[in-house]
Amino acid sequence: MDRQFRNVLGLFALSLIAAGVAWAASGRERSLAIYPAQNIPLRFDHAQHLEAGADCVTCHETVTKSESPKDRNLPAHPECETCHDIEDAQKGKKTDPPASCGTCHPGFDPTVRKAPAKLDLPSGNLHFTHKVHLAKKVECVTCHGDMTKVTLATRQQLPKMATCFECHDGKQASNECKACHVTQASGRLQLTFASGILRPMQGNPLGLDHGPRFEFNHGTRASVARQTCTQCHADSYCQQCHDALQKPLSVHPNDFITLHPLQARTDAARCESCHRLQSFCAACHERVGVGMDADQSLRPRNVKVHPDYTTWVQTPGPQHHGIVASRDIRQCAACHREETCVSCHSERSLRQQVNPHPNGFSSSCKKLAAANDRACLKCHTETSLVQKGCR
Amino acid sequence: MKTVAHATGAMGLALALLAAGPASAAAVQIEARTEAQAYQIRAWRGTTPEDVVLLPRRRIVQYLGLNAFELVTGQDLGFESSLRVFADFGLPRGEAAKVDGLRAEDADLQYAYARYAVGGFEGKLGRQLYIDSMDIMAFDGLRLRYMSRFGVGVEAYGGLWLKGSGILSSSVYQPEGTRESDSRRLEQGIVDADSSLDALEPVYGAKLLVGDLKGFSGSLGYRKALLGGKTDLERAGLELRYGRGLGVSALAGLDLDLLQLKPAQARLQVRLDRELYAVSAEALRFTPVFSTNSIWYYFAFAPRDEVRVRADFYPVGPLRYYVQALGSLYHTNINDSLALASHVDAEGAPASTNMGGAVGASLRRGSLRSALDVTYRTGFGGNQLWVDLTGGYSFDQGLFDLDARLSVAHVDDEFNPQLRGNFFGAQLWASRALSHATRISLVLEQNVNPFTRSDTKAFFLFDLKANL
Repeated sequence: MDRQFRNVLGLFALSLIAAGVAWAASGRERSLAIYPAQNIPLRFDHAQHLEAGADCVTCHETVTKSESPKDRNLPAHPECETCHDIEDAQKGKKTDPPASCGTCHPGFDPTVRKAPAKLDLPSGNLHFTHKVHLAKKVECVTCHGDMTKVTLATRQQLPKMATCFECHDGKQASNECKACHVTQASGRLQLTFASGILRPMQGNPLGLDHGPRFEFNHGTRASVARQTCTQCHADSYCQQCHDALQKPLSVHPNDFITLHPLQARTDAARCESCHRLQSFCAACHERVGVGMDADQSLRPRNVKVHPDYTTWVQTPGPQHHGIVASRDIRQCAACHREETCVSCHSERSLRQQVNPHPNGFSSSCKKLAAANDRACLKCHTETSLVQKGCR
Repeated sequence: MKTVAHATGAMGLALALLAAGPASAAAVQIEARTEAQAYQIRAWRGTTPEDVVLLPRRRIVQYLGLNAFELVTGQDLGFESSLRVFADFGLPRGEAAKVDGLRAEDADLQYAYARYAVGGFEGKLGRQLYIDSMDIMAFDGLRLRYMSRFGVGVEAYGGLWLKGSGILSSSVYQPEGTRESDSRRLEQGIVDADSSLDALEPVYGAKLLVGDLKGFSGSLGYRKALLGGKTDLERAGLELRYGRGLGVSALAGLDLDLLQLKPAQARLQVRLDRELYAVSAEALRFTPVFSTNSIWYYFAFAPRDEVRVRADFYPVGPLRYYVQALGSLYHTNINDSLALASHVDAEGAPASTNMGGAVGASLRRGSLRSALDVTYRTGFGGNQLWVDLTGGYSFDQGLFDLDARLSVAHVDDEFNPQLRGNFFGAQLWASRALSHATRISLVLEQNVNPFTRSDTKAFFLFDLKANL
């Protein structure tokens, strides 16, 4: 790679990091799918009110009966008027505490506009009831955090899932996803909302972070903890990639058909999660003339993939195919059919009869042949199996 | 196979009757996707490296899924299915007939099963996918699972393994190392062609389950598949998970080949999640898992061990970063009696290791999204550097999405001299929601490289997901 290219790449990476630091001033986002974006054109100071002796239900009176996340549970003028004399303030009198419109509705001038700017406070996409939580003596601070230093409460004061799990541990309260999350008719979680897509991200308390390149990293979890995946995803979702016929554009980069050999050598297991060597890879390779066991009319004539025949097949040496085959036999099976190997490795071969078995194979061949001798008999006769002690 | 078809028919009839029952609150859903692909593949046949021949791919794939839930009011009884029909108009039927496993057009019933669940019990009947640490497979049959409230359970399943030779079957999940069918070779009278390859393949297995005992859950399983009365695969699997909220979580999986008594696949992942960062380490062993009907099962081949370490950093804000390192060790297994055994580490032999890493960042801010990944690997197979930059924006509250992808690959293939040089690609993806249930997408891709020189790909997608 030339120096200029590396320099450009380095500069680009540095600028991304710088941009990240610049953006660091903004608050950490909760999921927009769960807590949609808000617009709260109010001025309020929780810290000041709590210091003055108000407790939560003084203002949020309806919360004790609230059974739905759709309930706003916000104080209206009547609750504020317990302390703030709005009527006197509207008459132009000086009040203590202050009660003019602009005290809570910054910028609002009743002589210019009929009403202050409206709150945009969409409800959370969750199942939730304040009533039950309060009945179980859950303190407000447990979910909403310490409000004594908070001015205006926003989405940042809504609990994250890790907070929920402090009680929803499967014993004190249910830890099933559907206990809080909205489900579809199938029983799986609803993932798509008008406000966004529900996707486990950083800090997910179950370690389910679906961060960058998750399409390449989910394999271990999906194979070991399948039940977790099915809480959200149907088989049809998995098959959008794992069906060997669609080209998953997020998985295969541009021109992947040309460039896949290298990636296949370094991560064949990933290929095999969608493609079978003999039924998919070898078939396509034969069609394009890479595979040597195809019909004569499809075979290449002037192009070679491997080194010359002597080096690759005949003379034992560092570039012999046996070493590559031993390290990555999938490569062989992705282009060749069994008959290619049998032509030299079979005991019945008229050519070389090279033993392809590993060290110590004779000690286990009897057990293997007893389980299934079909493949054995492709290379050996019944008599030779007996002579070798494999019967 | 007729039996399977009859069983599927009977199951469909039973579901139809159930769905037609009185006072049903059933939710019925249709999922459909149409994908059209138009591009060229470079062929090697009858050419010189300088003489590029391109084969056309003009493929249309149609998926149709019919799902129904709560077929009996208040009961978790449902049905899910997916049928795939495809045709490649760029592949002449006569040419497809010359290659095993190549189909110019066909239909696959990918899955179609009825599911019932109550309490800790779950049952699935029909064609179904099954994924665990041992395999990604599919079978026509029955799966029963019960998890008690004490966190201990059991699972059992049995049926016929889904193979390419069956009716409406796909070879995507067929046992590895076997071809889709040997019928073509049998017709040609090729020695060693095996008619049993098309035979029904019973598969059965069971698992002991543990669910969330002090943060631990897992399973111990056994599976066996028989072909023509002989063992095709016999495996045992162990799966373990640990996790208790933010902090350390772990996964482990072991796939043991019981015939050769050696681990086929093993994986261990340990992860630490914090508010600001996550660190994970993974150790894996991959060994090809062939069917015992394949001669390769008995060949001397060795596993590959891989270690991956990744750190994610999430500063406050819309950006996040990651860095990943990985190393692979390709073991060698050659019979000592062969002269070749002494050349394994000789000068000129392919590397036995592969090292590399990746760094990247992603950005999500409102309707804007972007990601950059730079990956480099060197060693066995050759050297490869990939730079992948994506970016997208959603207009009109997600009704219209525009995404782009630029990729540059600098490749130096160890085995194929044709694959050396710089490969450039650009992709543009426009997607428009036509209604709440439908979306139409068009993808254009242009590649420039020394191998195919210049090629253009086009993809068209139409998605429908509607509740009836």
